Amino acid sequence: MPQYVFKMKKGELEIEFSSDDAEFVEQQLEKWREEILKKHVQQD
Amino acid sequence: MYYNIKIKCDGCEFSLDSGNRLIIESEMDKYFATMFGASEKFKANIKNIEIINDDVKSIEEFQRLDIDNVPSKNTDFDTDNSVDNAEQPEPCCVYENLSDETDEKFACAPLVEAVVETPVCSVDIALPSSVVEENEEILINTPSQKQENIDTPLICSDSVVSGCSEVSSQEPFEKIILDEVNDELGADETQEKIEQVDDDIENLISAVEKEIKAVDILDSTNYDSVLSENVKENKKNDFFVEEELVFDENNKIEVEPVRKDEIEQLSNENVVSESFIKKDEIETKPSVDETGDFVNSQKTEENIDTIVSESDIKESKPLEEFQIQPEEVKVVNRDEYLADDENQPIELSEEDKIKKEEIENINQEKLNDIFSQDINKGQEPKKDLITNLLEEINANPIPSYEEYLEQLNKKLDNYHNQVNKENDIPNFENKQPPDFKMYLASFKCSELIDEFLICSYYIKNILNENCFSMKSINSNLYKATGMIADMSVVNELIELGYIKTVYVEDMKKYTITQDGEAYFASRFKN
Repeated sequence: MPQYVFKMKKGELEIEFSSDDAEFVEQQLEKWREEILKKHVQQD
Repeated sequence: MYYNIKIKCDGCEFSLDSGNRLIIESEMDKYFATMFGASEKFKANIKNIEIINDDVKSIEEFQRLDIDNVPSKNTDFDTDNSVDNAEQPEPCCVYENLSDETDEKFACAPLVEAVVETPVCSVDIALPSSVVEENEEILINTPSQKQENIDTPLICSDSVVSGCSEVSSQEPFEKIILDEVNDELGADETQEKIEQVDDDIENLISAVEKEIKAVDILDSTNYDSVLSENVKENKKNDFFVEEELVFDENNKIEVEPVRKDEIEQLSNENVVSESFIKKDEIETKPSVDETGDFVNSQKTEENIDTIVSESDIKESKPLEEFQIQPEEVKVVNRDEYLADDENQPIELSEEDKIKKEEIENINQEKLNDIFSQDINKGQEPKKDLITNLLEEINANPIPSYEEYLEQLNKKLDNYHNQVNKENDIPNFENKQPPDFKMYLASFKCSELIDEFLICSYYIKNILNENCFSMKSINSNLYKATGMIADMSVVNELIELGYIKTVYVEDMKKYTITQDGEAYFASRFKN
């Protein structure tokens, strides 16, 4: 069973996101990415 | 599908996984999770976490996202690649040091929000807050999981009920099992089974009670009655192996089996009970009549029992091993004892007696004064010190009543000086450091930032630890104040120059500065 592990770190904060569902991972990371881009656009 | 989100910061961490499990390993992790869960969406789903620091500022910080320094490559990752690389469980992308000094704990919050938003992992947790304890993994079972957990079926045989030993909480188990059995057998049959098992249990209990009674009777050494009853019931029991002729009350001979172990016991004890003596074995033995003369007894049926029992009991030797050996007592002659000066009772004259009483009263009054003074000061009276002091005075011969008083007053003055000295300069070097709650109670402050500064001073100077992490300081703060500090407090104190950041083994920690200590001394110590 494949497992995807995403580890995100900012300073001391670390988020580890792991799942065996590729589609689910894709959805969640896409949301996160959109959130970042949205904020980025707002700030620009 | 499986997923797990682990969030770590400053030594704290918590996980949320697809099994609806919120994994919190310590009290501080709970605070951390709580802070992270300050988002309304998160709170709506995780209801079991007690919101300890429900600060609006925290929520704002939580919901704010700082993306200024996000490297561009992080936004360009291709999720399709991750699917293609499905065989490799290595991290698909790792974001290292996204930087920024503020808002660190909340930068990645949208991920968690996004995950909780999705219907796949919408968490329905509604445990009471008391369930969340230290080092406890919180398992929130869905109804389907509950069914899976019950692997052991209930077996209702005649008197055996199995599968109960592994169950920790009995109520839900019983309910679930009853439901299952009802489904299989129907309500009526289930009730019959239950009644049957109840009857079996009652029978077992009564049988056990009977056995216990029998054992009690045996213990009370009433062998005759027990044996005769048992013999009647257990004629064929292999336990009874030997037979002897005995006489009953009517001098009739009857065969009565005797237990092997009892024969051994009786032979060991060398005590002959009349019930176990054969008529043929009885010999004529001298006995003593009422006048004290020896009388040759005859083997008449009227007096055989009496003769045997009396004579044998007289001849029987006491069992040394069962006898309680008296403690060795050293016998001292009374005159010799009194001749020893140390043991001589001191005879006081009337005048001395009055003086002694007065001294004792003064001692008591002084002690009460000292104790009340100490208690008023909020101190534990140093009873040992005072007792030693008085013993020291009393041990020496007292020349006169006035001198005694003078000596006592001097000693007590010394005591007070010593106690006051200790109070002026707290000395925790050789003692257990005080709890921060107690330490904080000696200062007048109500703001979290002041309490934080006091705690940082406490950690450095009382606990003798050079630096502290947010986890350690919040642990002390929460125990003392019920609140925890966030980064805004730390940043404010850093700006004021009262604390500074230090790195210990790549871990970010903080310590109070000299300015901070000076401020602490000027503000709180005076």
